[in-house]
Amino acid sequence: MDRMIDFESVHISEDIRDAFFDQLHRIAEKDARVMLLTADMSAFSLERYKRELPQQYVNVGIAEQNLINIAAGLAKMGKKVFVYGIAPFVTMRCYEQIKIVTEMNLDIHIIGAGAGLSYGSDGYTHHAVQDIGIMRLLRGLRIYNPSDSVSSAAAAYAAYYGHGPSYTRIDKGRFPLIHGSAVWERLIQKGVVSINEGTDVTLLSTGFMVQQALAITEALAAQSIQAGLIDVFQLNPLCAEELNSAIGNSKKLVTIEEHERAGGLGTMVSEWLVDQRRMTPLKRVAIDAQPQGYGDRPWLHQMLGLDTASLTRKIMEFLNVK
Amino acid sequence: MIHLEKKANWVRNQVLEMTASAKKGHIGGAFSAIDVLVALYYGGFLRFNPSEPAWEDRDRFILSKGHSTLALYVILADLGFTSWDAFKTYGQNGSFLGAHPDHAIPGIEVDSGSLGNGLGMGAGMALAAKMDQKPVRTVVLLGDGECYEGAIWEAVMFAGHHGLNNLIAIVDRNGQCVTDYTEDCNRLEPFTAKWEACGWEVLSIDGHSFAEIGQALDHGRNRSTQRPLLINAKTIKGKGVSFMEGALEWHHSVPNGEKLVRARRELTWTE
Repeated sequence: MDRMIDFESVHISEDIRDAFFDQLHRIAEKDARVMLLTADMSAFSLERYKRELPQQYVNVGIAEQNLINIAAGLAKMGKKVFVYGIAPFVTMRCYEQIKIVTEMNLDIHIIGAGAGLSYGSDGYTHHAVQDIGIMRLLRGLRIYNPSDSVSSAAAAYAAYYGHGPSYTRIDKGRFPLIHGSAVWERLIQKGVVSINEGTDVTLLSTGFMVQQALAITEALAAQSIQAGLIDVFQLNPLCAEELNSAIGNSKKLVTIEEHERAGGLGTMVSEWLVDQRRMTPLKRVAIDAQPQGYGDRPWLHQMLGLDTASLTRKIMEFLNVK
Repeated sequence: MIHLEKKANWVRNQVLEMTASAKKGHIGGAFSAIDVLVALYYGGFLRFNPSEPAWEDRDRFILSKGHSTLALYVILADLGFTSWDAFKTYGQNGSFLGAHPDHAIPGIEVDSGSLGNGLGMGAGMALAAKMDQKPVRTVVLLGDGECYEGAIWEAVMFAGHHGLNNLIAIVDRNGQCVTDYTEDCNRLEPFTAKWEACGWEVLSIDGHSFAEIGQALDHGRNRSTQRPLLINAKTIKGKGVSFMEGALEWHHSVPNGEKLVRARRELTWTE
């Protein structure tokens, strides 16, 4: 990889969005072809980008279809275009436009803010819980789903350096760092990172739910269950070879995601197991219901059975541990 | 002017024959747009190089009403972007020429089978040309039925706001959509006032008069305004064949038998 930056020397913001945009800023400073288009969206670190790189920034307005079409025109003229909007809107409102630019293999990188349930009480319109399922249908579109600030920064690099279009779904807020900066290159090149090794069960998760899964491994350890944990950072294409070596000889697998059951990580791993002719038992934990009422993310998790206690119980049942 | 009229007649004949032999094509909208296409490609407006289709400083042309692509294929083959042998594969399985434009075809910029996206893409190209101070013009040919798409109006606002005076939209205002007349289906009028309200300069012309098309394009070449330009080209769907003109069934019908004979007769060039 042609590295412009020594990853380990870079300051990583604790805010997962700022971590992405800070890295994008570093890239754009060195490559004038890089453009950032927004659908009237802000983020703390974007203010500095707008101030320092005004020639490489356009607010297209709340018009996602035009956002992608303008990006297509710019990309056809040699620009490397990042577009930023709210995850469900910048994927679903303009899905057909994305289909077309993906078919044309344009250098367009979609940044969707508000992965999964991160918009909480803003409600169902703002939740991105089908986006992985639909975006992975687009052949050639890379999908990144960072779980912390290090992987978020890595996503900006992966998008920029990789071939063809990409989609990165980013959470909101500050989370504990899961990855050290030494893992950066592995995230970009391998797409899958083992966080814990475990002999009893291996958890596979992606995005924010890796944070949850990490807490679950600790709860399981308290019950003398050794659970491994894999962060699936790159969802499309699924890095089959890396997944194979990360899973090793795991006896049982559990996927944990904040996405509809159909089309997400659990679906991908199921397909992968079938294709590999592996008979490893798999439990898929995902969203199975529409939330009744409005609430914040922890409340939604409780309602949907995605809180740590529910998840731990489900996994123990799967392992036949009372 | 006569050479353009003759060329347009020849393109109509090629489109007719290819549609008849492939049993596939959108004749009505192709015939309404052919005079504009011929003026763009043979009248000295668009700058291009068939032996170097990716020439960086070429003008960008987007056929946003992609279903009229057969007319563009004829022109691209005639100019040498593609070979005639390749053109003749139209309608055959495995051909690289489909019923809608594909960016893989030399001389075609973007995929535009899906309506409503060409103007936004063109606006992005025009913005990039301005940013990089390139002497590149972008021309987008739209259908009027296509202008029901909301993305068109997102792009109209964007281009007006950003002062994209290197962008020209030409609307093939034939007054018809697929199954209806535009003013009966979902009224477009007052059409040009909408563009003007969004900061566009507007010229309304007869889209079958090479004199008027030429004047409008000349104007598009030498403007001092910051506004993008709309050329509202009033046309007739199916232009050139009397029984097709303004008739709803000729959006994508295929002529055969007596109708093919009549169409050929009406399209016979006489000096």
